[in-house]
Amino acid sequence: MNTGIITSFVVSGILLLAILAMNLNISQSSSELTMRQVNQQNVNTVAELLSYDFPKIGYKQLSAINNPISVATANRIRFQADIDNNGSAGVVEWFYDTSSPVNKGSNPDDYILYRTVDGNQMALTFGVTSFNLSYFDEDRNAITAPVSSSNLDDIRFIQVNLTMETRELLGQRGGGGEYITSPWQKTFAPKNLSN
Amino acid sequence: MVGISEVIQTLGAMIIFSLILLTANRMIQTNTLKEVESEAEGIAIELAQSIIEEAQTKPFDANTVNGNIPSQIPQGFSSAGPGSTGDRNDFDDYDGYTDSFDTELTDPGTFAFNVNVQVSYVSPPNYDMASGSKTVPTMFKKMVVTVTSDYLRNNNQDIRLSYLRRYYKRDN
Repeated sequence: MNTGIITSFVVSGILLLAILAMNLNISQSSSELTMRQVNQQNVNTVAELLSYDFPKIGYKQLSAINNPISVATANRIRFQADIDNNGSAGVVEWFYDTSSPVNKGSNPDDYILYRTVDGNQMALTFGVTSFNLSYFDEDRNAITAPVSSSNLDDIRFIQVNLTMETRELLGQRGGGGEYITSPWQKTFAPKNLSN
Repeated sequence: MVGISEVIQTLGAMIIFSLILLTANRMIQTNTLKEVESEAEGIAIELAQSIIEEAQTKPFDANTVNGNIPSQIPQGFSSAGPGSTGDRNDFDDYDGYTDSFDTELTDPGTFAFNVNVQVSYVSPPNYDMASGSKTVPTMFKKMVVTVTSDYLRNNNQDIRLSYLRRYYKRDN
């Protein structure tokens, strides 16, 4: 066999390995992109629900609700609001239950976030790994959670910190991997909590 | 020399493949950048909206705090600008307000998102800040919240939200 053919075989071998590596890279990138998009979509779903409920704290179609917040802790808030705009106040609760792990997927850190409206409970099992509520008075001073019943009336702003992760690990070459994380944060200023 | 043409062909293939590889890498990098940038945009919008929503709950002017109504409207309104005490008690007290924020997207302590707020009196029909005034009262105040971040800088882009507020009083 002549040298030229041997050399071209070697170079082609290297070329094939490079193509294989590139294929793996593109596949990895594509998986990450898809998982991130799905995770971001899940964050948007929860954010939409939060953005629907929280601004309505204390709202009632024809009259105001006095003392609408009844429970305010770092992982639970219960309040009254005319969510359906039908003239009657309902009770809404958001509760992040760290004793209820989501048994779907391999992520060990996701727990169930419950949204309850007038007793109808909805379990959000999209991969919520952190849900933290902070409360502030009208001068933006933090009110320590859990908020005592005598301080519930002082709440004017509610900050929500939400982190969601994918249920499955994004594998990496050489072993291991990571869960894709998407954060969301917003401070709500419900109009009916202001004086 | 026998076989030299095969070597040349293989080298040609390698050059073509290198170009494809470069393009693919660029595509992967662009995708990753866009992912981070879109998350950063979301965070910046939420930050700006939070400030606007907070300001919405405050009285229109320092002279309308506690339900007071100036005898002359709009001449009775105060100049737009931060309050003397530094508190944000009314809508225009947010003028000049700046702050930096940490988010879950960034490392703690980096304060990667910077917020700047401007409030001015504006007039119809354009309600633009450029022709607005801090000292000549009108019935309208406009707030512009600008969020800047290194994570948005790839396209030299800031997130800017504005909110126009009109004074009204209820006749009893």
